[in-house]
Amino acid sequence: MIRNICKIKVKGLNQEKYINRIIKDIKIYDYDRISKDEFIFGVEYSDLKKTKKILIENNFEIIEIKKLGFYKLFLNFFSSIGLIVGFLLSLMLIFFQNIYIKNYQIVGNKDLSTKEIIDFIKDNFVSNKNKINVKDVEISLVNEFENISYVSVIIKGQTLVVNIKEKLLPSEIYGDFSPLFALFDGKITKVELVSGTLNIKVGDIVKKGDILVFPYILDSQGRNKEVEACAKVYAETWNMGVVEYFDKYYETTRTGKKIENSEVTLCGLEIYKNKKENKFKLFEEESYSQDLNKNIILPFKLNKHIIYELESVLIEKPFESVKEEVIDKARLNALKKLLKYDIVIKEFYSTKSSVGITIVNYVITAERQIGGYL
Amino acid sequence: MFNFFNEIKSDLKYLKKITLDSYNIINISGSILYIEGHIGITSLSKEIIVFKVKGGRIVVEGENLIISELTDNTIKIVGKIKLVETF
Repeated sequence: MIRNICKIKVKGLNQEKYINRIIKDIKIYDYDRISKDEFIFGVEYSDLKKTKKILIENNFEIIEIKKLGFYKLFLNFFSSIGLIVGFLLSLMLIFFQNIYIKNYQIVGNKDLSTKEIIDFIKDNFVSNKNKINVKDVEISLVNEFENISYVSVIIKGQTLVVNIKEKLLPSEIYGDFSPLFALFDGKITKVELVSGTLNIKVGDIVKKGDILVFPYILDSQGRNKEVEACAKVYAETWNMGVVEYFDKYYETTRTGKKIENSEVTLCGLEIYKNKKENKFKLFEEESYSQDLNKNIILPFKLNKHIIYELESVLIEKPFESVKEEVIDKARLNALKKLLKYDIVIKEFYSTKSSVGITIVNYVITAERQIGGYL
Repeated sequence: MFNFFNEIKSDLKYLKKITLDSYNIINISGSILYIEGHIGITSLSKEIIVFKVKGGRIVVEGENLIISELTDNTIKIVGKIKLVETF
């Protein structure tokens, strides 16, 4: 523990006598006799004056007084110009820093951009806390941003906190205000309008790309007001599958005979080759290439060329004998065009025959939601 | 408040004739000597400290003796205490 004491070095004779006198009023610490006529002892700061008086009155010579402890440190601090200047400069720095707003905190905004609000405040108001009027900031923000319903501004430390409550607009006013288009051809069967102005009615036939709902409404004063075009428009759509059938046709199949030619290369250079003569009149070819090993130093490659013999046979089957099969094929083609939530209303087909050729059109009528944005 | 010296003195009632309020000395491990009841120092040096008590004198001998604390009736001596003698 550092005691707040003063160490006094004294010179004089008959020390015991005067020490006894001093200790009647004063507590002495660390009494140490250095020599016959010199000694050091400590007293508390408050007792220094009294001790000095006694010593001087009794013809003692005070050689040195040393101040120790926290009090001494405290006094040292005030006697050091550098420390005082540094301390004052720090205080000034803290003071000047504190008078400026350093951070901006925007809370409660959903549609409004935080950056936009901060930029507006920075551009229009000073950052000095003492000169900025939060009421003015609030009024300016409300005037500048239409979407703000309520705003409160406070300064907390070096942060300007803006608490915003945005206006709650009806949901139909949100959006891009683009019309609702027909995404498929069809005949309108049902309309569920949410917002906007209808351009169609039940029973109308529409083409893909036609406008179904306009993105506005007429207000009580006859003016157009932009709203989101939103509706569920259902229509009967026609999904067609077509198959062309020929009564006579050639069917080509592989006979099973084949010729295999192969060659081995190394870096494009031919190392080995096995080539046989192609004697087939009707044939088809296949080729492929593969690495013989995974050695990157010697990258041998095997190139295969296979020739398959073909034969062509004339097939004669009248449409009537395969009618069901062909119709099923056409139906399958039509079914592929249906969407996930389509409701099938009816199915029908028609055939058209010419010389040796029959065209089957299979139509599936389905109800679906055709409205959407392009 | 509990006082160690008073507690010891109360156990020695048969010694009523002896004066028990003159001085008290505690020697802690030969390094600290605490004295209560001195009435003045008579000699001071690094090797010997002499002080008066009621009814006599006490001599403390040792090495590097320093009076760590000194008031009008207490002394705390720090150093190597070799001998404490009463006259």
